[in-house]
Amino acid sequence: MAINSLGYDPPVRRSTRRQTLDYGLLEAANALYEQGQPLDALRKVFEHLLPGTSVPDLATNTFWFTQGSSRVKTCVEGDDLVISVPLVRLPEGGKAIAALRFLLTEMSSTGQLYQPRLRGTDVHLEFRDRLARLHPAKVVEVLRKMPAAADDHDDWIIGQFGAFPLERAAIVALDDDEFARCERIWQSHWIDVLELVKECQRRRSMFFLNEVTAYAHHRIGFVLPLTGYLGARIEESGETFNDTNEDPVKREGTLAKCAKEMCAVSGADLRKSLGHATYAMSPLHDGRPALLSQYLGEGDYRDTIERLKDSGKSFEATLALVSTYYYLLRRYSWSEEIETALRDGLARSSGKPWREAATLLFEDASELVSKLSEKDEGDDDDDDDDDVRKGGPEGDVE
Amino acid sequence: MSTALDIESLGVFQVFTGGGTGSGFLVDRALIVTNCHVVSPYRKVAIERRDKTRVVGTVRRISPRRDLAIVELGDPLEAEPLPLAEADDLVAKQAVHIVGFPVGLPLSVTEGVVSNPKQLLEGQRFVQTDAAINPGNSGGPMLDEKKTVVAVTTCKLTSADMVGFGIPAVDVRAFVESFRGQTAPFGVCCPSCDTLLESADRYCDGCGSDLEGLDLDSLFEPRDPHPVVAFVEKALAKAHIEPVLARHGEQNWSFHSGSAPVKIWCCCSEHLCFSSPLAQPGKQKLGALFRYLLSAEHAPLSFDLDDNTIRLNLTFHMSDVFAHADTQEVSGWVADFIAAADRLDNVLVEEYGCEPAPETQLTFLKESRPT
Repeated sequence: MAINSLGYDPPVRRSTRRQTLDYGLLEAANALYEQGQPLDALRKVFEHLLPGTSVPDLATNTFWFTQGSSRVKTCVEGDDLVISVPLVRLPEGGKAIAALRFLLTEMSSTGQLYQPRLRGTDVHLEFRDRLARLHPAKVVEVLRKMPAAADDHDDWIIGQFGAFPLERAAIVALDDDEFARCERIWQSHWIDVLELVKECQRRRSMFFLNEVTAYAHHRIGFVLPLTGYLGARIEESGETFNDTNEDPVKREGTLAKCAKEMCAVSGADLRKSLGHATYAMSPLHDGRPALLSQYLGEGDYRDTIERLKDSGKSFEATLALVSTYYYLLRRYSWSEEIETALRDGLARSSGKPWREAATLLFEDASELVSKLSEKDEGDDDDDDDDDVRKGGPEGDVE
Repeated sequence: MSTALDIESLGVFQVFTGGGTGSGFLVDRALIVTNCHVVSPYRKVAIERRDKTRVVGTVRRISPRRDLAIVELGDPLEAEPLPLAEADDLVAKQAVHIVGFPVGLPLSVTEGVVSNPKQLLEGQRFVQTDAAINPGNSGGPMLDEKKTVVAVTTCKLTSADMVGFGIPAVDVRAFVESFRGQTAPFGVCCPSCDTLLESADRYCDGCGSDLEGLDLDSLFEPRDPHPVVAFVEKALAKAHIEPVLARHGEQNWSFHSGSAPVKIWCCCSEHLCFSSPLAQPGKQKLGALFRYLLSAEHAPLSFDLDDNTIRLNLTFHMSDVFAHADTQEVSGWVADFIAAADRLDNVLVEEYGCEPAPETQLTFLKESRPT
């Protein structure tokens, strides 16, 4: 059955609190470190990264915070600071070898300040260093990357290798109404994706393939609170089907396989992979108007979409705009005004025929960018050195 | 060209500096000719023997205009020097071999013909060839079928295919012969008159040319190294590794610690990485092996699996490199890492049934096995 429109569903996933980081605190931390006060510098780093969180005296207290499924522990041991995240408890038997190999291949690495460490059967991600050497930049790097690495991989290790959860942070289960919505969205999304894959094969267009893969990946990530194994599985497939340097046939095949696998997931398994996680640090990047302009403002990408829209290829134009909207909503935290505008655009184009949807979204995007530009002109404080690179919605702009 | 060429027997060696790598060839057992751009601005370089051990070479002469350099070796090499062509009689379509170390690969040969024996380029004559020339070939010999050096490979046109150039043997011969008649420990040839410059004066004593553009100061008095270079090389020296022998290009070092290869590099602006590919897992004892590798006892060192190779790793944040104090302990970790690399490949092979990594020096592995 040919696909005639794209639908919009309000996200079940809860919005992540937008955090404005105080970089003055980081500068103060640098100054304190230079003055030989590492513990005071450390405190400032935490205050910078975790605004609104009460940080105890780290010299005498262990400090825990939550980042998704990760519980991050910070404590001082003698002259050292130790930051660690419990990861998993290893299973017995043959799958333990696969789990260990996975840890050595995917989680240990050069160029990484933290590493997985095994004690008995428990695996933690750990960082340890002398307090005197704790430059704030080092601590920021560890606090940003290590909990995210644990959060990204623990469900995979548990799901694939039968490892056991280890001191994980609580994930709030969905209520029945939320889960029913998720189940409906999940099924319809992957059925749509399978139809879109057929369209890819019919059109044989790299542009179209890029938009389909972005749509498949970012829409489900934006709408559903995926926290478990299924999220990790989609991410793993996404590394191939969203990779524009990969062979297009392989990308199509991987997306089709992923969509079929996801269609076959039982309700019970889907429920296991859903939940509302808590994040002390926003897992989203800070969305700025300049970034929005890079995607939706004047430039090659917008020109391409306009050309498609005006040459009878409204399907392609709509898909590009919708996938870009989802990408921006999924990866970045925006001001309320921008987030509302992006979500309203998707809602108003929902279910509309391609031509109507393309026109509506294109005008919507133009209006939003132009409104933000007017504001920018009146705001001398805004950064004008934004170094994000332009690219399609599948690109990583960080 | 149909005749086989035993390239391993040729006196062609890889040259390593803190700026990159190139090729060079013996004109006698203690003298290597290479390009000026391969060695400058370094006064000490490393030459790698076939068995991967290295010897320090001292740069004695450079000619920036003709892009030639002479390196004197601390230990003469056991290889046949290559003769320089006597006559200036190359002709178009004559076959030539380019021998060297393209893009850092092991010794290789490409073949082609002379496209023009006296191509004029920026006021100088070059031997032009269609043989493939790549970065790393610089300074290597261009040989005829009698294994005589007809030119020294120097550059290629990046905007065209199969247009490479060599410095004619007649110029190389003149450069080497004039060096043999001189005694100065180091000198630079004046680009205008070839007078030997022995100090960083602005004007040539021979022809009066203004030498400001040559940046002679940096040639006669090398600048202070980058702090990362200073940090690593100080730590290597403390671990009894000669830094010159370890240099492998820009902020890159490689050497063997006993049997274990050690690589050091900056992977980004934030990290300085030490890594040693030690071994490959066998088919037995995998659970015990992987548990050992992940064991917390190794901190601050760690292991990972890169494809199927077990690497020992140590990572520094740049703030450690630029720290005002407390570098003593950090550089001690470097020494510990180097010693551990040599020890742990034996442990992995002997106790866990691993295979040595492809780059392991097997002779040393046996010699240093724990008793």
